[in-house]
Amino acid sequence: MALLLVGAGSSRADEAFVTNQAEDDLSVLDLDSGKAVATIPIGGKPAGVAVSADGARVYVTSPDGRALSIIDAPARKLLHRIPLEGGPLGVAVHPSGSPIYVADWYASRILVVDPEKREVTGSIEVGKSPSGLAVTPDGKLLLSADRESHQVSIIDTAGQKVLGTVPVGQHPFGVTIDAKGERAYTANVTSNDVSVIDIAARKVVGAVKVGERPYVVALANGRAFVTDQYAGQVSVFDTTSLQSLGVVAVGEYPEGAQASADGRRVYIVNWASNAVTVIDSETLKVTGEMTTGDGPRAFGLFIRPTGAGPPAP
Amino acid sequence: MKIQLLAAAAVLLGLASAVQAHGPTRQKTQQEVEINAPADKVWKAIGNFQDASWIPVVEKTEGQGGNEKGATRKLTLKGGGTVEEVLDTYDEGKTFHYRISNVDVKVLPVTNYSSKVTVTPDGDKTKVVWWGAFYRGYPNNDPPADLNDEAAVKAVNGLYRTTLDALKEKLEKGS
Repeated sequence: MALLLVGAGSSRADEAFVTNQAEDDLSVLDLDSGKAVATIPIGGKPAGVAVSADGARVYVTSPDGRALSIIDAPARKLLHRIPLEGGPLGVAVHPSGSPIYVADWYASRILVVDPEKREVTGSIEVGKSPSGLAVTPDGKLLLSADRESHQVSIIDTAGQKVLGTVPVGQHPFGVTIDAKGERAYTANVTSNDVSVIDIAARKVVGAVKVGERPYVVALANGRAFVTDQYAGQVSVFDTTSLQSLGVVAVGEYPEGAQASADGRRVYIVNWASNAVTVIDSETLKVTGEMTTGDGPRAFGLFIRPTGAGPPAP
Repeated sequence: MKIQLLAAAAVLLGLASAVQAHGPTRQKTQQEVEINAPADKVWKAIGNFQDASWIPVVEKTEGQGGNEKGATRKLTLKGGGTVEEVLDTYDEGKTFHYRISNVDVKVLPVTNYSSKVTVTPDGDKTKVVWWGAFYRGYPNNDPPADLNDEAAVKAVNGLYRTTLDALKEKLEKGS
């Protein structure tokens, strides 16, 4: 890297760290060029992913291999592999960089992992089959989509205690918190809808019908983008009016979804077609496609900020 | 053709309570065949969702809704067992996409199965691709050998291969 920082940008574009479950590795995609710049072997059928807020670390779960892998993101290097019990799937990083929260798909608990000590330091009892996890921007609350209990658990991160639960639609999988930490959105796999949660009030304030088998919600530009797996599309709705803005055809079996830091683009990871579809969040047009490894899931926050783009609005 | 029949172990393990739960790694597989017959003839043989007789193991198809999205069918298999399915997309002459809404893992060792059949003309010939996505039959950790990821893929591949080979034989003989 010969170039130093120039103006507002750095020499690296933002990157996507995509878990290729069928291929047992992680693709690193440069989001400007659309090219894979590295492949990192992981093993154990990697599925969940979480990038630290500072972009230094990437955490990957392997539910089959029962492990949490810690990756040095700029070096594209696997640093450690922490063995975990159960079926580690959903993963989230506290905004401060520690701890790491890992949902146990086969049980009713979230493991708390210290990435420095590389050990489990706590366990939080939640509903059945916790799936997606998300932490509020202030770091105070952790939300867990408890898939088989049809609810979201709201957890106090300091005390590692469940403050309350919110009943949502059937089989919530992904949970996404907005930039202000006010609302959360769950994609409900079997009721084909999204529940909108007022986090402070701990109640559902809206439900939006989407396509068949929704998995994850991404937020950008005042809009929610929902991956409808069986429909091969993304359902879009306005987060204020909760009115549908239509659908965008993407690849086959879209799963992971996340917006760029500036909110202009949304990246959709397509499990069956081994590709990432890029959607313009304003025009709702597909503007590009990138190739991944086999069976990409990228379940979690998979985009690594490098400071190249403008800050989120 | 016989869909893999599984031991009573599956029942003893209490799988009935876990209809929606599934393993951690979804599998995908596909099989294809090239048939020496025009695409419209091939489509005629396989494109009616309410008639699954092109799948040799199927004895009877009963259903509702024709070829419309949301149509259902119940397949009764030779030698017993049923499979209930729902049509998700249908593009006349080209492809249809459906999923299993109810099947016992003793009949087919999978859960959350969905599938797509695609017919593509290739000159005078036709290519048929049968693609499936599914989880293994056992939804929890440490699956028994007959309900693990490999068993699921093997069973689906066996179904696809046998069916596509039989389709080719039937249509080429009749042309």
